[in-house]
Amino acid sequence: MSTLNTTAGSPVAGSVSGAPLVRVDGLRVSFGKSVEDNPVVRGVSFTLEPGRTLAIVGESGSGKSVTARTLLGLTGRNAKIATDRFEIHGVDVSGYGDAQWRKLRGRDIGLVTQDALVSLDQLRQVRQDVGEGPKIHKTLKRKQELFARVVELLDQVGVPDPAVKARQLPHELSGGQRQRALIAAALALDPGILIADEPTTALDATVQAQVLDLLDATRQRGKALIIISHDLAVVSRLADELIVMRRGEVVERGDAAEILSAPKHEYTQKLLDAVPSGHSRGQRLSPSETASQATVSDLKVVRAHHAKPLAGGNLLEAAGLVKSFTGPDRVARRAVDNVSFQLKPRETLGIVGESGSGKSTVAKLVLGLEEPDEGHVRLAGEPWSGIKEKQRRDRRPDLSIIYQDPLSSFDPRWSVERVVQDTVARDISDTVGQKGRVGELLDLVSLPRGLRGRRPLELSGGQRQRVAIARAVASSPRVIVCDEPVSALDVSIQAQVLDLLGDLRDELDVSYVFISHDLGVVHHVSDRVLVLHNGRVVEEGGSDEVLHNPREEYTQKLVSAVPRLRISGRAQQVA
Amino acid sequence: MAAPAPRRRGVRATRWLLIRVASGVGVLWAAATIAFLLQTLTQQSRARLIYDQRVGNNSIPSKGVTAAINHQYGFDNSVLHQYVSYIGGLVHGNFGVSYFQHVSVWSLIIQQIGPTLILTFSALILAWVIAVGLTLLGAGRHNIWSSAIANFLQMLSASVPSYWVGTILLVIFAVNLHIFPVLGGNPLLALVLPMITMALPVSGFLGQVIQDEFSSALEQPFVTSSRSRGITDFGVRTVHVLRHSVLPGLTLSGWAVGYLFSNAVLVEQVFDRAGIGGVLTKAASEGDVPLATGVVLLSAAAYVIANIVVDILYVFVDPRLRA
Amino acid sequence: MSATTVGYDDCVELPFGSAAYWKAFAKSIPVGVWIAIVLVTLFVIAAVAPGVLESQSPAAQDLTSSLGAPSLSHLFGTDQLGRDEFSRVVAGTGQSVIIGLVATGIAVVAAIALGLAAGLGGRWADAIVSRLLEVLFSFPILLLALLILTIFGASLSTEIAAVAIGTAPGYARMLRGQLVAVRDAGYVEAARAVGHPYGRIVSQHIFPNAIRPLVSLYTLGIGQSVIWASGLSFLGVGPPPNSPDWGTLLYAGRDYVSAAWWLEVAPGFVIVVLAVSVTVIGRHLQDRLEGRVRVSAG
Repeated sequence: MSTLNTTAGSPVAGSVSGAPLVRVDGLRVSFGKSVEDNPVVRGVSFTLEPGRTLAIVGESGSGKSVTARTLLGLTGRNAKIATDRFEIHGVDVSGYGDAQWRKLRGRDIGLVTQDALVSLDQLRQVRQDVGEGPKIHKTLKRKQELFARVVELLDQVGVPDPAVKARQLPHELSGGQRQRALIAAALALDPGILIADEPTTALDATVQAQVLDLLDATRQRGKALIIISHDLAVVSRLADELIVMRRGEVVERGDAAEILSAPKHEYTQKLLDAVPSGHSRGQRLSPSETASQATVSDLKVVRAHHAKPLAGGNLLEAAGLVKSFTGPDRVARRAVDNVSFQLKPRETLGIVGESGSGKSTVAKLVLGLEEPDEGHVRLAGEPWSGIKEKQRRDRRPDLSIIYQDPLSSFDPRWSVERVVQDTVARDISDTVGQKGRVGELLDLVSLPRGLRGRRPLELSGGQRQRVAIARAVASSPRVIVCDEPVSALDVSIQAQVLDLLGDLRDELDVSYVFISHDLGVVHHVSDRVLVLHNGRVVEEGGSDEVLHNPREEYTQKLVSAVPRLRISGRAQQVA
Repeated sequence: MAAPAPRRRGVRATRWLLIRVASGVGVLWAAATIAFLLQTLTQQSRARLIYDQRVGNNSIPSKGVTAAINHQYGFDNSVLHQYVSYIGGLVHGNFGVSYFQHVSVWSLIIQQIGPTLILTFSALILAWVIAVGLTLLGAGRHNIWSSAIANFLQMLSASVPSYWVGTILLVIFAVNLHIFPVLGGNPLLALVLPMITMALPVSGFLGQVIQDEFSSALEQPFVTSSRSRGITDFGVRTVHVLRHSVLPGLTLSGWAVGYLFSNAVLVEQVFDRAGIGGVLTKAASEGDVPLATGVVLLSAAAYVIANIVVDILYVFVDPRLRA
Repeated sequence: MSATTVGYDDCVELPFGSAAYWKAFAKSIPVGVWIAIVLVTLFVIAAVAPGVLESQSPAAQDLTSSLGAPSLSHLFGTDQLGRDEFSRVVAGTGQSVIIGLVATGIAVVAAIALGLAAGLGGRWADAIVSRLLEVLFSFPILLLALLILTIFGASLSTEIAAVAIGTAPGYARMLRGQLVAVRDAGYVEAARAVGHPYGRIVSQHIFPNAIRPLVSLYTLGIGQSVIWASGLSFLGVGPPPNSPDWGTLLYAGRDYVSAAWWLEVAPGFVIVVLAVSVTVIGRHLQDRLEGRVRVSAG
């Protein structure tokens, strides 16, 4: 079936010069009994030329990763694959077996996966994974040569102290260094094609920008790049061509700049609209849903009996918060260092920071789940920190939380209804009343009635977050702390949840402390913004002011690192 | 290594080992204390027990005789005094004197512990071989045969007593097929059936944890990433995944040593082998408290040492712990 | 993400206790588990009313047919005195099963006490209990049991106590681990943030979630206790043989392995059947409690 003979040599033996690097026509993939059985990829076609970047964009379940893996023959044992035409370097690979694919992998096509911490073998030194390609393909046999090549590669991708880092374990490197090492491993045999599957998803914005630059640099050296992402902004920075996928199908394809500025398909348009930013503030991100069915007045009744008049004008006040934790090496580190802020009624305060900035610790201090070492928190003008839990308990309904990972915040034994009922039970003692209120709350967050007897495990991510929101508003709080509430969600689901939070703010008269690493999301929701770095407040102010005209160097770096949709004629700049 | 301060790393490793050994000694001290306290609970009858054995019948000793025995064994001292001299003796390898054989417990045990240790550790090694072999062949591949064998072993480990497996093997291979000697014979040949008997259930426990970890490691992104560099399926299994899956097996091995000791006592009786099983069984039926205590304390020591070895191996396999 | 929801759309939750519920409940139990339930029922009958199953008196001697091989009239053969081995095994069921039930029960209760102290009693209680468990772990189960029998003499109650003390540390360590994991779980923090008192959080979340594995563990543990207790009898250090349990039968058969292997194989086989049955039931309970088996129509 194939013309590949067994003699080695790069590129693929028998390759046709002048042919595109990759040509795929009508790719179909299924994990069922046959190709027609519930396929996850339904007819994808593209060609890839040297020095070009193809981006495949879609939400989870779109089939974009499966498509990428098929190019390496890594779709999996029970995958059924059919193509009309499937060529790499002009050679038909449609009938390749594992042994033939193995010759291609690493040498002709390199793969960079997401989340380098788990994509590098934790138990082996970085040099072993980076040098694995040359070792397997036996291009470098002597140990010293191999090591020299590894150091050279790490140096090329910008890992500092490459000779030292090569002998360290993956967890001893920073997130950005790991991702670079993974790219180095993919480049080790100098393949003509590099596939990057969500290469920056787990990274902080500043590191993300550097990794994207690195990928672009390899493309400029003549490699063809396929980049898989859920993030249109990431893609817009690099892509020449764009394929938008949904449920295994290509909905739109063509020149990247053209599609991003003038999308023809409704779904592409929806994806673009769903991206939150400073400019989308006050607008809905998702196509309007049926309005919530519960009447707000019903819900307000409960608030009345614990609402007290507000003294001083501030709903929440944090002053000089300090919190240290002792690490496993017994060295105390300040996770939060002199953080102060105020929250006024009906205001949303965004707290932005990269990983390790202390933003989640701030959330715990605000919620009274941790006590500050120094400083204090006041809720509605009264002391909230430095008092006994018993004294806090009566006022806890004023404050609630929405987590990034709602699943772990639900008791796995309980149904959705019972989860919400548990919170309602504080205020309503009779079961009939409780059930009634649970129904109202779930109507309020538009959770379909059919799902209410289910356990949280049986819901989708967006549905779970709706349950978490229903629980958070159940006590009619004045303040809701949202800790990365949309970070784990697809962009269209994220849009729906952000819209829901916006609606609830207006209807229920709540204020948010909104914590996120995503500047676009924070800018979309916040009135004021607090920028955290290494536990300290770097900058604070109105969100437009801070995110459009940052004064501090760190904020400037953060803002400029955010991938923007590079679109002419569309005011779609993030931040 | 290119670590910034290799000497400091060595110092840290030594300190870690010293702490680990010290905590092991602590465990043994506490174990000895518990053993001592258990012994004092029989305080009233000990002299009587020894007297019965001496005269060979059930008669009530005179007060003088009781006092003499109490004095000879130090039972007339205060409990604290007895405790201090007991622990002091243990430190010097003095486990006391057998009530019935009138020789030191240490000498009785040392004669018999060799065969037990050989049986226990050869069974542990065989169990590892079976578990790892089945894992490399079966885990993550939908192979009905190997998973059926693995399931069978797991069921065996949870619900079939070793003394019964031993009996069956003995009946089939020694009594009926005459492949192995029923009694005595070549010591290596005589080791085979007991070793298999002991290894089978442990290989079931080990196989389960190793296979679970192996299967989940096979799903990890680093496997995909390694495959994308052209590695073979066998390469992925041996170079990458096996190492990960060995870790929970190591943890379990520390526990398995105790389990194997328990089963050794039974299996030695099935195959009529020399070992501490016979010593302990005899001590238990005679009420020879110092002898039984000695055996139990020594096996506790073997358990503690085995667990220190496991911890060292663990650090060897998982370099993350070396930092 | 959507993968987890597939297949639940056509599930209908049935009201607990209704006839339809019980029908669906019965259908959700696999055949193997049903067989195990039937076998366990037979063991219960043998323990409570051995006369129903005995084919003849377990004490009736018949020296003309001593050491007879298994046959239709003597399912498990006969012993050196010509007694029917099957009837003797049935007669020994009561004692063996009681040892298993009571020893496991004591062990689990002790484990709950120790586990609760360690898991919820604060740092010091945790340190003390954890050390104690570590020390107890260093004693191999059977060796500790033998030591206890040496010191206190052989009797039914010492044997039960010995098996209980030997197996309790394992349960306690597991429960402690569960409690610690659940104590730090996200849903416990969420319940704290709601403002529920600590006692309510313990009773509503921590305890039920941590205790669940113990239910199936108790079932699995019965098989283990029977195995260890029979092992003690097998060594000849069990309770005096006025009503021989299975282990004692094994001990008696040891001298006849070459001449009459069935005396050794039959009682052991019964132990295996009991242990496998309770293990199968225990594992099924585990699946059920962890939500892998659901009662639903369709």
